[in-house]
Amino acid sequence: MSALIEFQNVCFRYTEGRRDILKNLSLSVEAGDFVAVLGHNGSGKSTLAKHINAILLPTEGKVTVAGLDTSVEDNLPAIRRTAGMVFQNPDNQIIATMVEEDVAFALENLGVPHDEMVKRVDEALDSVGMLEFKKYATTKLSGGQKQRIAIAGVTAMRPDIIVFDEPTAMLDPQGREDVINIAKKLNEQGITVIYITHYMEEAAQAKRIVVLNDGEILLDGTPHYVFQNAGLLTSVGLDVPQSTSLMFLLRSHGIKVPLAVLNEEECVSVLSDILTRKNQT
Amino acid sequence: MIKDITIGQYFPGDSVIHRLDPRVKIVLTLLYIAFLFIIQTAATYVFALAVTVFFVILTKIPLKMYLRGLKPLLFILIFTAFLNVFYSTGEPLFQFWIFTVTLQGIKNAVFMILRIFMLVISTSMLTYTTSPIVLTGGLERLLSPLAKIRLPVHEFSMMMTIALRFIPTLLEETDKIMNAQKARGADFETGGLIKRAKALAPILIPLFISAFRRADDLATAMECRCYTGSGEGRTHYVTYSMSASDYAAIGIMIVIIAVAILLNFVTVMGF
Repeated sequence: MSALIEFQNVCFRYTEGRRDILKNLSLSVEAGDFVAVLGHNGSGKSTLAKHINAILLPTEGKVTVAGLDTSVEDNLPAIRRTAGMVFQNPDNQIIATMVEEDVAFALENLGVPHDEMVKRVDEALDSVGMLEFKKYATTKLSGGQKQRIAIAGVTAMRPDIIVFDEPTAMLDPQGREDVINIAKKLNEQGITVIYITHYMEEAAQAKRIVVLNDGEILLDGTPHYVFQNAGLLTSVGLDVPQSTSLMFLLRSHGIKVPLAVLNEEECVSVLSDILTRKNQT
Repeated sequence: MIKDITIGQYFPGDSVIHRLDPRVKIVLTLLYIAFLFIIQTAATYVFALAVTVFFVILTKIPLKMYLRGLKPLLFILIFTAFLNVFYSTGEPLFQFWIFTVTLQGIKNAVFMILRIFMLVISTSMLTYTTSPIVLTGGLERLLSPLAKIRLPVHEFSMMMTIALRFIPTLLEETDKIMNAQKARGADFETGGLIKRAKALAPILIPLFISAFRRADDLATAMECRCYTGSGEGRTHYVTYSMSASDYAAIGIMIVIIAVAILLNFVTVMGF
């Protein structure tokens, strides 16, 4: 039995003769994992994401999702149902004018009967905390809220995998936090999450980080392992935020601190907590 | 603000007419238009006018709004009235120079104006009380039998839905681009027609590029959500079910048409 997502020696280029965007890349993801894919612009991370549900097909090599080869046309409906995708720009992935209708879009396409559809739309909206906005016009929502609707539109399909392609790049800090928290919650419910991002703070909350550079895997392992190689990350243009690297250093010295520290303020409050505890004992 | 432009002239509300099933509303409007063309006698015109006013009151939208829709037609109204008054055959009422005014002509002119007036009001009523998106949905369901003879009913309605969905987004974007160009010293307000038209290029080009990019993104997102491009095997989230008031509306319309046909046989003082 192979892994849920399997990349076997995948090469990808848009046109023959142009540079390879993915270079002989092999990767396997087990069911239930939460994988963050990090990389600077042009590292091929979005290209990798688009291979998972057959939006792009490998030029060489093979991608299988739940055992289905993405290059076989007949597999497409099953693959798209297994692996949902959330994109960067919330405005460009909302199809309907009303929230509930947009969430129902995938279900309409799949031919889900009406009663079942109503139930699943409510469930999906509830899971992203947007049930009260059911009857709203999608254009009236904030960026973060739109992104949550887009996630609901995907979860309504009940996929096994959700690929997030830089879902927070266009959002404000509050929206970013909401989205990463929803991704974590969905993962706890058993959905395999692939989370493409260039924010270290978000990647730090994953179970596994894959760092891409020029279409190749540079580092692959737990956040702990990856952040230990801060020097290597900096050499490919990825900056580990000081607060994050400090937290990892403290952890590696056996001090219990949370992994995900989003900004300096939070870092300060975590440190002052520890210091007051130290003083008391 | 450019965002404030109302599209499709829909006036949100909660009147009896607003709540009717869109399919029923579309069919009844068509019936009503047919009805306006069978009326011939003065008595029927009075009746039709009363019916129209009754419906206008039911929509709870001020008559002023309906009359606004007549403004662009003013010229046509006056022109047809003019032709009717002077070029009808019949007993001459009075004559001057080359013009002959007949009683028949005046009657024709008044009837024609009333007919156009009611036509505009009844069609406006449909768009005023039904949101564009509901209207599209209603049309899709009504036309769905035509899909059997390979008419692209589903494709048409999907195009309409997406167009309606992106109108506010693109308006917002236009606003942003205009402000960005203004900040760079672009001038949209002064100069002659040609200069102003030229000034629009720096708005339209970025807008088009971004619209194409959006279209590409949207198509990918739709594919990811299992859209196959055909209406076959799709189900609908929004369902329309006919309520008592829909049946009542159909009943009322049938009675109105029956009364009109009867009134057509009644002539008052020769009209």
